[in-house]
Amino acid sequence: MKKTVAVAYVTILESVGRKDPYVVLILGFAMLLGAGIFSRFGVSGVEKFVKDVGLTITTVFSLVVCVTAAARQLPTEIQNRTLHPLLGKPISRAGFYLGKFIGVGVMSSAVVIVFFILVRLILLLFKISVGGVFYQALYLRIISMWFIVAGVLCLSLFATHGATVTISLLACLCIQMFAHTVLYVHDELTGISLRLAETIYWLAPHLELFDLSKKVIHGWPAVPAWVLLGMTLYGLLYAGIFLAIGCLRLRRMSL
Amino acid sequence: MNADVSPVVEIGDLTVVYKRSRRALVRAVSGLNLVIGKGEVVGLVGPNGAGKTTIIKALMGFLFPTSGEVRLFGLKAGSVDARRRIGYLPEVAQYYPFLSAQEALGLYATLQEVPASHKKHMISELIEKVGLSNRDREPLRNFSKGMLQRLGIAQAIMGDPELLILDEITSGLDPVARHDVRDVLLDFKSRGKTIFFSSHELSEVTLLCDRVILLDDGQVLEERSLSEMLSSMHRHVVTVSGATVPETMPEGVSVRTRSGDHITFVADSEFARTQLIELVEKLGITVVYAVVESGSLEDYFVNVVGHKVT
Repeated sequence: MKKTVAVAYVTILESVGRKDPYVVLILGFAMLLGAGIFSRFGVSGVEKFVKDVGLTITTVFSLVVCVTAAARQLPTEIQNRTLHPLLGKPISRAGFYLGKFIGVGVMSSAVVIVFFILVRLILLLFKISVGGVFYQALYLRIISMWFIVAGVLCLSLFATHGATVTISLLACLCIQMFAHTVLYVHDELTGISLRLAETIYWLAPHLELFDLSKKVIHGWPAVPAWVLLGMTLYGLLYAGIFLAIGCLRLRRMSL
Repeated sequence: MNADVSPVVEIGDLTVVYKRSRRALVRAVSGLNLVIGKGEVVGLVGPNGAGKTTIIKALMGFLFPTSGEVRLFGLKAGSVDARRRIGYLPEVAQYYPFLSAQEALGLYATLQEVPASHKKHMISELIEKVGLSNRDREPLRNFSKGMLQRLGIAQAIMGDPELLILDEITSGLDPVARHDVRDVLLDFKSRGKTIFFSSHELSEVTLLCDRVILLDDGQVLEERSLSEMLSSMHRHVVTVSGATVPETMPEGVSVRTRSGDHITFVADSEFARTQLIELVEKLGITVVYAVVESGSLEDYFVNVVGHKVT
């Protein structure tokens, strides 16, 4: 485990040394501040607007940082040949892969936490209150980041870096925005299209379930603990599946 | 040669075929058989594209043979247990540019399972051994190719491995660094460690190896001890004075140069030389001198491969 942690540590160091997470954070903060200033003008309903902007920025920007970081890890290691001296040492490919997963997962979680802190500060600054559901939204967003990292890492072993980023971002945004659409059109579908829609619905990881933004915006009460537990297990299941596929793929790859 | 009966490296009928495109296949290594005993130093020599790096990658388990078997210490190549006993230097060593030499070696020490209590001391020792003491806290992005190669050698010899696998050891090193690295490897050799390396630098091979494998187009052209190779390149040179070339010369004798009334003959064996000397003495010609010129590995290589190493 020490070896996996060492790989994770280097992965975090690499991410910390890059400029893109800082640019995203500064940009996000500027946008949040801009949205918050609206509340100074006493426009009714602007509190919801500030929360909406804050949480959307958090979702989109943390997703971009997470996907780009996860997508570059393995292709860069292989292309730059930094992988060879590492795998020349007694670490299994699975251990190395897990180290990458933990490293990007920790880094992505940190970005989400920083964004939520920024949102909370802005809300505090403009005296906008949030309930416990805000912190539940943070928790589920972190869980979703881990399984997105697992998925992107896995995809990066099958596709080029550019393709991985594009497919991952599109897939995440599409799932988040359109997954529920299948439910709406379900009754109108028949035959193959119905089977296809059902297959997609049951196979696709439902990222939208991890999004409590609407509940935060409209000031809903906190969701029950069993829901959080269920979502955690759901996220772990998908992360496990992606990790297993990725490990198998990496084990069989010529480097 | 300091070979032991227990093989450290066993390669049986190794064939590696790469897919260049959808239809084109490249046979990088073809039916290679090799056994390296404990304490042997074996050099792999060949022109670019001969298959040297492919063989080393197969030994490290980085690529999978199309057919054949590769074992290290009786273990499957690439297994964690096998790698625990190996020090490896890749052909183009790249390291994380944001780490310093100390941090990078710290990472490799953790992966090499060096106990935490020994780590600091070991890293300082290695840094000193490869001559990076003054730059060990600088980020590696500031390092030259030669300095990175020194770092590569430090991580390879970390933990005193039983087998060193080195791909182009002295690549990018200046003469002083080469000398230092050679000393490190000679120290390994003197302690009965096994070394398997590829190199373009034939002088390196001559200085370090017990056995040399000449490789071209993925096939072994020659596999002999270095002394056998060099002795087969010996040339017997005989210079005579005040003579014309005899009409019939013994087999294996040719004229190398003519300068004034001196003629220099070259005989490819001791027997041919004796016959030549007997002939010229019979003709009353004076033998000025007769010497044995030793051949170089480069001469041998050019002779066998048919073109010069780049």
